[in-house]
Amino acid sequence: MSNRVLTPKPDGSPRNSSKGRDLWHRVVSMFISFALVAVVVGYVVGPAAWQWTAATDRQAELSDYTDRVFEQFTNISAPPSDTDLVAQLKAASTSPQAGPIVLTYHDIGYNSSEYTVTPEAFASQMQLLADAGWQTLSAGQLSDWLDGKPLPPHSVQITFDDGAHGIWQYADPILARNNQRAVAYVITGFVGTRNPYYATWSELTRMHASGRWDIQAHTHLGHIEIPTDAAGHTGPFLTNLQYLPEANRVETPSEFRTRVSEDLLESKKQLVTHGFPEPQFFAYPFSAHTEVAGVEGVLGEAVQSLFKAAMLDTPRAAVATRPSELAVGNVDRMDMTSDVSIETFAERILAVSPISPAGVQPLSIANQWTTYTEDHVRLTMDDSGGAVIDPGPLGYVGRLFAPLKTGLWNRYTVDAVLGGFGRAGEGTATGLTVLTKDPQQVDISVSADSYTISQLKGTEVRVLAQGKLPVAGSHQAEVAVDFGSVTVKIDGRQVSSTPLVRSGTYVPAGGIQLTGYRQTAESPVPRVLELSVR
Amino acid sequence: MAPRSAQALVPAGHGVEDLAPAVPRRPRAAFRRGREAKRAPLPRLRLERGVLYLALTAIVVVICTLKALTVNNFEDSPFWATYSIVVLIFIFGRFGLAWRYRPSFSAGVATYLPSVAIIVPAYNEQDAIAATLRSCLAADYPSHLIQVVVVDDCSTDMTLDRIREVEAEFPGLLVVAAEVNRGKRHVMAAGMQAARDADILVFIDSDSIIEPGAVRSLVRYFEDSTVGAVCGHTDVSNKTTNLLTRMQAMQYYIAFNVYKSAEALFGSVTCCSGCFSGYRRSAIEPITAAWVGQQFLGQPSTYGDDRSLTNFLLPNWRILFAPDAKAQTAVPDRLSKFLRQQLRWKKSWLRESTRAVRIMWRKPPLMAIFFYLGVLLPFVAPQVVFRAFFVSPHFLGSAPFWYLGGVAAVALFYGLYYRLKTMEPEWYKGILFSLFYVTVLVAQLPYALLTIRDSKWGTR
Repeated sequence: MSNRVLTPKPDGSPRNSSKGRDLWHRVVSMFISFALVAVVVGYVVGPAAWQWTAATDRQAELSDYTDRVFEQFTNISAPPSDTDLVAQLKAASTSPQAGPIVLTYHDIGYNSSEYTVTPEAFASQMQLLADAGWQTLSAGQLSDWLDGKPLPPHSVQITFDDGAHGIWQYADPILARNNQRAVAYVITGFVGTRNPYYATWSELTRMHASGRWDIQAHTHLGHIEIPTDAAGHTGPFLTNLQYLPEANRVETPSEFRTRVSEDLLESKKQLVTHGFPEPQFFAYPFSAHTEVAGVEGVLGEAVQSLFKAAMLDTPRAAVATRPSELAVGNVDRMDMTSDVSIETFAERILAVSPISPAGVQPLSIANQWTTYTEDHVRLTMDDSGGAVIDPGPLGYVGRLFAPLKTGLWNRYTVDAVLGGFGRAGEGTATGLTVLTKDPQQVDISVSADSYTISQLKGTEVRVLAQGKLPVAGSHQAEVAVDFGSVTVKIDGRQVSSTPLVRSGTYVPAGGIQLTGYRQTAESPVPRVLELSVR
Repeated sequence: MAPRSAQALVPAGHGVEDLAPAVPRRPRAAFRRGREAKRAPLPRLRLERGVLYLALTAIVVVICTLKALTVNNFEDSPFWATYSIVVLIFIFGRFGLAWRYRPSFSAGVATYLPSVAIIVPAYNEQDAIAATLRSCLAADYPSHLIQVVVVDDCSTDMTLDRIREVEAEFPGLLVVAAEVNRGKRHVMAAGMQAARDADILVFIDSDSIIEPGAVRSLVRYFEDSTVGAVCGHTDVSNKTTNLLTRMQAMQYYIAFNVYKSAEALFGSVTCCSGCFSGYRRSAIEPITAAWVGQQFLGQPSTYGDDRSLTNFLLPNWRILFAPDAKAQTAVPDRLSKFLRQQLRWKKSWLRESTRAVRIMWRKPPLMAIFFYLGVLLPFVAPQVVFRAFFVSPHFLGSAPFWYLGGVAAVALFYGLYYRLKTMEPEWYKGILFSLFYVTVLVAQLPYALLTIRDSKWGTR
């Protein structure tokens, strides 16, 4: 045997006798063997133990997950806001007769979902609002508005649906540093589950306690799709009749009513049980609020009986709440999905920033007009500053003034000179609509020698007043809208006063529309010579 | 004592890496047919090639897509996510490197005819030795330039008698009979001594058979004077015996055709297989003594002679792989023999890796990266198996489908590649068996580490 591996020999070791060398060899050999065993055992057991412990810790972490408070990320930076955008938002028009601008988010974080906005993008958007001096609204302010109190100018409401974890980890610190607030619509049955997707009760409690957050309802377990037939089709929980496989049928309307009401009630109860104020608002999952045939109106009724209002959600567009929605207790929101740039963000808010009816000269704002379906269209003006409302021969056309910005006007007076006429019976009529698109919309139509005041009742047109006028090239109309009635004067004479119906928090509202009608190709072109609102 | 003297094909792997090498034994006629087919593929053959290429691509694409889809894993378990990506690059990267390896020769190769000695160390190989010697003696090479030397290590069976029988038939065979049993390295060194005037020394294991043109094909690589050693390609001669040998046939083919090609791209084949490899005498003569007397942790190193010899040459010589120089060898056909052989290989791999890690950083960066990954990854493998079979099922309630699926996908990839290259009709037979072995063999590494000093175990 070679002694190659035997390098250092401690003093006193018997290096000369061969017997001693054998002993020494054996000691070294044993030592190496022990070292090998230690190394191998360590190599196998060490990392395995570490893996096992790490997994155990992780599991422990998950098991008390619902009570955990995760770390917040307070270091999300926002670049300085674009000065142009700040200036545009600062200069945005305001109106006391307007609805809330409500923005919807879902999760804040980093994943590829359309409904997850990155913390950086969210921070930039909130920074822009703060820099432009816009306020963020509480749930209470929304409630006050529904009760008739005007909203503060330059205000938005920030809402988050689902109660995803990102609202605690990312959104809350960003709101905090801007002194902003928000409303969280949480799925109470999902709180703290699907780790780590949903925020925990402890986190929600802290959010509420900070004063920055209102916690509202977004169903208990109803944020799912349910089977709707034996073939396996599915649909949103709240709007579909559930297929019952044991009975091989769909549920009855009364079973539907019970299932839906119980879930809504449970979501309220859960929030109260966990120490939050009773929620006043509810957000429809998937914005689905139209029930299938057979149970029409059941969901809406249940929601209205439990909540003050319910939130809809529209992605990829600028939307403002319409009077017809308010009439059934709904408020619309704009969904800020992950593809929304800071420019689009500002653009959508500006698109729905309201115009006040007081002192508006709509004809001088020719670029704010739309068709009846709300596509932008430039108003055709004549040389004397009047508008040409030409439907072409044999036609009818309507032009709306800034519908997203005037949709909730409810107290205003319009002065208009409606004309373009030549002689009686020529087939031309020029018109003005108030409370446009409200269920109680009122239309005024004038020809060379007559007038008609009518109101839409469902699909039927109800004539309120009709009469002859002295033949003239134009007639002056004054229409006054207030909470109680619509009063129409033609050429200074009152021809109609229609009472308006109000119910609950709904007040009839809507902007103005100009209409033109030509019966034949020879009929002259309808014109509106003057138009002002006060 | 192991029945075969072979050594060292597989880089002592773990996991899928152990789905090592193998090759089909085909009669030469089949070889020729294969080559003709390559030149002018029949439509059916062409179609099948196309399908196989598509399938191979599909496997890579599916795996990459799954990785891309589960990129979240980096957040949850960055270590394992990184590991899995690295393993993928390691596995498929070698195919890419191998594909780039195209041996080329200078004009002088046509007239390059060095003197060659074929050295066959033999110990208790009475059943195979005669065929081995006959194949060596039938090598296509000018007879005045070639010498076949067989060294019997004092066999206790009829080996020497068999040798003498062959000698009677071919008087040119040089027989060296040791008087005491001293082990393979001593026997090989004795063979080198006996063939004193040969420039190129070709070692062939006593249970291997070479093709007639193999020596000529192997030797021409030495025309480049920087080449110190060349490893020939070895296929499995007994692949039809059972599933175990089928599997090894596939593994041999991949280990030679892919792994060694990839290493040869950098002139750094890490193990010239004992089955069939050639060495330049001037390269190994200076280190023969050190090699024969090699010790590790106080014990003489016996097995792993081929990997060890290669390591001696790696610092100063280029080492290539000759895919066109073909031999065949018999592989273990019983599980216990197979496991013992694998254990031996793992031990020698462990031992020789401690030497190679000190050399390989001087090689081209890509070679170095792949080499060090090849050393590192097997050490992580036991934890991967532990995680897949114990940790994940216990904590997440998930059966190790992903792990097994990944191993199956790679085994299938190997199988399809094997089929593509060899047109082996029963290529699929080794695949399922591979799945089982991957997991069993992983446990061998710690065991090999534990018993690394027990050099007598299971060896000659």
